[in-house]
Amino acid sequence: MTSGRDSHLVCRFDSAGTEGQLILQTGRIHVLLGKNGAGKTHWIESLAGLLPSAGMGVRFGDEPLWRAGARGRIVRNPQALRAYAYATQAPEDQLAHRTVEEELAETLKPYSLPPEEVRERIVAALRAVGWSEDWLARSPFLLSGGEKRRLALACLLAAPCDWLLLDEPTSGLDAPGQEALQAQLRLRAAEGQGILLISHDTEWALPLADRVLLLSAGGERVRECSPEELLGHPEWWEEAGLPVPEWLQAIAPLLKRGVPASLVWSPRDLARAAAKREAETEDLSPGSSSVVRRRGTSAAREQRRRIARTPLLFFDPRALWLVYVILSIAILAQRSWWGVAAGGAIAAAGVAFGRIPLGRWRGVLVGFLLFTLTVSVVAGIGRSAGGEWGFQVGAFLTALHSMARTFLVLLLGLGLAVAITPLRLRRSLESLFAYRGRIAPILQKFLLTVALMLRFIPVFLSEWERFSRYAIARGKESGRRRSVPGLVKRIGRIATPFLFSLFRLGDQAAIALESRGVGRVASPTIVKLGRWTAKDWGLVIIAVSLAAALWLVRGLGA
Amino acid sequence: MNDRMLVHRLTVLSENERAESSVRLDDLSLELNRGEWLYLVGANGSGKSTLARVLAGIYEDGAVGRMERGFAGEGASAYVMQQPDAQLFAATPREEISFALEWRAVPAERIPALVEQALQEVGLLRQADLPWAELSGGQRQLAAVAAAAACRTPLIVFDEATSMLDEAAAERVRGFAKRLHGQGSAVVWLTQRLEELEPDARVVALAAGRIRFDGTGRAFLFGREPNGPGLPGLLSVSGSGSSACEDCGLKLPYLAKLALELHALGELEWPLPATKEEWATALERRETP
Repeated sequence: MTSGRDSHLVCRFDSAGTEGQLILQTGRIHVLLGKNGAGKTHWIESLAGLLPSAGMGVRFGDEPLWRAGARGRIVRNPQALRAYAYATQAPEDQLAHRTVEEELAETLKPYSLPPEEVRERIVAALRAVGWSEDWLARSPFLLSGGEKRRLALACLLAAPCDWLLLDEPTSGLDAPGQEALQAQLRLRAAEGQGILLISHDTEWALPLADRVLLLSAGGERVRECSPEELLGHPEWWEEAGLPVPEWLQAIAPLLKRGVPASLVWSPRDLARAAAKREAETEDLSPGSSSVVRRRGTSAAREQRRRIARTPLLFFDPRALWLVYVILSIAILAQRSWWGVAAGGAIAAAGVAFGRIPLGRWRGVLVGFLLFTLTVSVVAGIGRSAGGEWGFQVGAFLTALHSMARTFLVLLLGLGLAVAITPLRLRRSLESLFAYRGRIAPILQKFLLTVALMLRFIPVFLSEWERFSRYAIARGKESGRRRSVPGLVKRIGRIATPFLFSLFRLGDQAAIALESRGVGRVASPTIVKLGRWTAKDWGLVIIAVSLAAALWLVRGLGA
Repeated sequence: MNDRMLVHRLTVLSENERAESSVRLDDLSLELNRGEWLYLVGANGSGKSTLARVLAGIYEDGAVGRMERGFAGEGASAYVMQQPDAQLFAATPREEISFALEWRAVPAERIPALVEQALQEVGLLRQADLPWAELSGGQRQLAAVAAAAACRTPLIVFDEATSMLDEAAAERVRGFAKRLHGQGSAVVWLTQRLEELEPDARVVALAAGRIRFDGTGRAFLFGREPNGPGLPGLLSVSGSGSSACEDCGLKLPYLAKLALELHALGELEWPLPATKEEWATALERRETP
């Protein structure tokens, strides 16, 4: 749209043997269909460079999405990032500025346009969603849900880019809004922009499509075809793990009778053709459907998600606590490096046996190790017994020794975090504090609050990650190292939508709790924990013997 | 015994940060019978979610009016929302349902059996002890529904509970709702997908905080049957206000449009088809002239 050059979106899959290349052309509307979990959003975000595109090479025209940056680091190519605008599901969640104008200007900032053109584009984008310039000074936060969505679409349309990527644009959009969006997308395609959109609303999306991309159920294949071809191949839906839409099932007899597929998109034309008694024949253009194989998609994601479950869940939480306390005391009692080594072996065995996913806490662990090293080095700098300044190896080792023991105890503690879910913890504390099956209401409230906060921490983390990804798309961030003020600004951009999302989440959670009657009943049932069984005794006995052995070697060689 | 639920002249005002007030529900009255199935539809901002929460007995700020909860009983009823993640408080489906039952003050010794039964009903027995990250969105939503419905409530409200799900997953959630309805629960089903409406069930459509339509699903899509059979084509097709659906700012589904067009050409007779089964025979008739 901005330049005459060819800027097709090229997606190359390096699959085993077969040539896998998908070329999406500008000036066309592509509709991506697939079942939940086949990886549609994952794919579109990989095309946008928000996720590492493993096993897939992406180019916008001649611009590769990823390239080697300074010192061999693979970074995003800002040229490629500027080639698209991306509307996520619920794009209005990202609005974070004080006025409509600032919001639109933010989208245009990465393009460094002259001020007149910025102004022009902003006004044109407003017009495209049916607004006048009067809206520029309004605050996005005071808009209704539907108006926010419109503003988000205006942001999408404002960018001077070759590609528009949209994820479920119709969900939550009312009928006039859906029609307007359809018209707007048709216009953009006619003007030469390429469009790729995900939709589960086939009634809305297929009439719009020039090409359809069908993702197979496992996400390992993409079928490319025209929407008319798709009408004649119910088995392709099945291949994608999708049921044939009801509207298509209903009109199947008409298609069988020879009513041209090209008339399907207009109910009026279809009805007229159906009313004609004699069958028409349409020479179907030779099929141009093709299948491209992908690799390392949903199966791989499944694999990554399926963290080996910890066998610690089969033990009573009290047994786990007891074991943890016993082993920690024994490890902390170690006075020699031999003892630390023995403790390390036990901690390693514990991590292996409990299948504790250390990767999940990589940040914490690395941070702790760095901290350990720093503290030890600092401790090592000082005056020697002889009164000379310098690096004292002895002091360094002493500090390192005590930090190492703490680290081992921390490692074992992670096992508790894995095995004892927040509600399980709450339950065990409740049964600890309960008297005759009752518990003081204030304590009850406190325990519930803590348990719920713990429960939602992973949700908070994934929300933060989500908005960080969106910030890349909007700010066209290449992933190069940035300055401190830049970093602070970036965090600010992510934090605003993140906080709003937390408020919404909190609202919904509160409503859900209220509807479940949580808090209404003065004394909910206190479920007894599972019984203490032989395997719990077994675990405790093993821990006690290990601790005893550690205790015996604690002074060895010290 | 008259124990229906009654909302009488309810107005809900809301105020934004600038202290501008807006009307979310406007002098609205509605009755709901025990064991009834009600579809509640409307465009964004029509007030349907507000009404849904009121029906579920969840406290709404700024509500004025009278309400008799009738068969639904005091306190909040089961309420399922779009986003499963905000409604799950435990780590696994089993723990979730157990947590819900604890707060219904079910005796501890009955809980394990009830949990097992609920898991079986939603088909999550095999996934009972998996953490959420290993379940699909549809499975998480089923767990949320099972937890909300745990301990049989007389009323359950589904607030666009299927909008994030694909067709297959949505079908499972609908199936479970049907099952609860079959067991005597009243169901209020909010949806944007008008294909979900059943032709003979009750549909209430809202626009701008008021009830625009209260009747059967078929009448909602096609308008009322023209008087007498001898007036084909009387029904205006091109949006002159005959369809309550379009009046409310909702998109008439493709098949409904097609049915109206075919009817205008004399190809389809009243009652116009509105389900898969009705369509299956509607066009086949024409195949064997």
